[in-house]
Amino acid sequence: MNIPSIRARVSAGSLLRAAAPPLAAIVAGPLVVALFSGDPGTAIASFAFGPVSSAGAASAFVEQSALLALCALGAALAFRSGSFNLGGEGQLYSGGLVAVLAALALSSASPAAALAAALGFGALGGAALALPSALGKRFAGADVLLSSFLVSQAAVLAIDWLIASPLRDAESNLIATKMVSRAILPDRAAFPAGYAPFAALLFAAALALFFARTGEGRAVDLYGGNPTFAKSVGLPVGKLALWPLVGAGALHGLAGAFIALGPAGRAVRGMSGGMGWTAIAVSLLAGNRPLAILPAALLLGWLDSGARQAAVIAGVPFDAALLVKAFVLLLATARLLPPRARGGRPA
Amino acid sequence: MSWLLSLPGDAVAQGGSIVLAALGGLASDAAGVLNTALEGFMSLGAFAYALVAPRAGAFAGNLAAAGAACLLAATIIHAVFKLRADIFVAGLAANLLVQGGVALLSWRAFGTKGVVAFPELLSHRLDPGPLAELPVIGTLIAQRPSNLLLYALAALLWLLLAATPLGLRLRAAGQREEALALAGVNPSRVRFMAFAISGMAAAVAGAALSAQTGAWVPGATSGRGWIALVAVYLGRRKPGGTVAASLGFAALFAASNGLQAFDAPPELVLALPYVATALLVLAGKARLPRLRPRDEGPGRDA
Repeated sequence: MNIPSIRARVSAGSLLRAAAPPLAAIVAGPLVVALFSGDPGTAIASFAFGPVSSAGAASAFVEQSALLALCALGAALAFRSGSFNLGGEGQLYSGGLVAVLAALALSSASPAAALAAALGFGALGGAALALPSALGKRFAGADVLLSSFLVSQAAVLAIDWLIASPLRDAESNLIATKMVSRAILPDRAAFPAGYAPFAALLFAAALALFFARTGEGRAVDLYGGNPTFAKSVGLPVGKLALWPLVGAGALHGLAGAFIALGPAGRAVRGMSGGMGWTAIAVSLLAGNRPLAILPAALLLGWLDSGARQAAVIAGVPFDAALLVKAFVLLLATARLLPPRARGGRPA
Repeated sequence: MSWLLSLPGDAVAQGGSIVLAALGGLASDAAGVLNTALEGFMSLGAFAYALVAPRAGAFAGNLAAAGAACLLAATIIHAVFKLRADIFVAGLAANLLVQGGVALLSWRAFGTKGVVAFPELLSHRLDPGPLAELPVIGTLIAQRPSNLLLYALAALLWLLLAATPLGLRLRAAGQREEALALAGVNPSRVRFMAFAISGMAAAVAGAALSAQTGAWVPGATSGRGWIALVAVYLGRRKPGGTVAASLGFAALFAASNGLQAFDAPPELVLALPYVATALLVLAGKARLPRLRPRDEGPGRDA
């Protein structure tokens, strides 16, 4: 596994490598929306400045980026432990639904306790969906790339059914569950972007400290880089195969809980909206470094918010953002200079 | 009970696309390049066929699917071998690229991102004549020509892998790269060919999905590309095993379709193939290889 070191020597290659994906997003984003719009000027302007064109848009942009950062922190935790978790989408969806069910069940509790419990259950809901893949890896050597994706796909379909049928709020026009008590939702006048930005900052700092300052963090990195060596030096590889992946699920689940307990206040069918996939791009863009995930999430959050604004204002399909994310993902692990130019370090 | 009798025929009908895509995945795997973009290639093929076939016929539609797949394969291979991007990530990026690209192109070409019907595209089932009355046999014979084409192409691909000099080169690129280089053959070129063959096979398999429904249906692949990838490793990376695993998954798809007749929730029915596949993967029956162009990336399983 390639984990760039913060103390690594800064070279032209490393700078180019770090700068290429965000530059691709900055250049390709406006180009793509212009290409698919009848009014390229309006499309580019709404894409570039839409996310900060009003207080409401800016709050939504910050909240979206924070949710993305939470998922990406989960992705980074899994990647650094050597597990390619492709199940983020289902883990997020599961967390959102479980959080809403918990909030509905705890409607008689105090709002603060109900919110804390709902967020906790949301994290558990995401973790529960990652657990089969972690157990499969630990006890059967199962491939996390495939198992996490397959479990997630099955869960997404099952949750779609739960929201559309047995748990559906018959009085709502939305395909969604009942709404939780307004009392437990964030006061949007005081916290326009909700609580997710605080959680993203907290977990980014905690994970950065964990990897940089603790033995367990170094053990995760060592196991992710070379599990055979980790075993030979006596690290608890069984534990290391399990908990980072379950932790990744929990972070995705927490993000799902924040989405469901956000402006909608309920679990809406399809609410994950591809965030689990985008989080992979964010994590890779940040080199799986927790603190670097924050600006990377802001960049791709801007891309999503900009594409949404361009869709509303200039009629450009929202899918334009997918194209740009694909380029970013493609470049995120690329090396843009030949080995000699990078100082002759062998690949 | 009738759905049970028609299950073998339905499985054969469902299986063509999975078998061909899986053998494509095997071709790429044999050359040491894992194709995680099979799902994207299938979607691309389905869309290219729907775009071209109504105007220029089914043959041109299949050619367009294969051509578009070649372009995408060249992009991925360029990123992997020239820019030295991670092969897994490049495959995921290609899936995203196709998902966004076909939605935008569909909006531009058809004026919608939703389903577009082309009744003239529909590949009609063969008439089994008096044999139609026979249980099992009738539905086995009543296949669509587009599906039979997939089996024919799958047989050719199997032959290519097992009994041709090109097949030998593909396997050598994956196992004995030095020997290939000593023989004056460029291993990177062979890998590109393998990846392009893999992409074309998956794209033509996707094109058949459009032909079978007579429509462009976004998301029609329903994860078949991923399931084809699992079939490669469940089949122990052998052509026979891959085909057998693919047909097993096709039977699951057919059974889940049959269950819809009993008013089972469609979402749960669609989830069944994923659940069954996930159980096999979780039991460690299908593992991805560690072969990769360079030993770095976002991290892989132990």
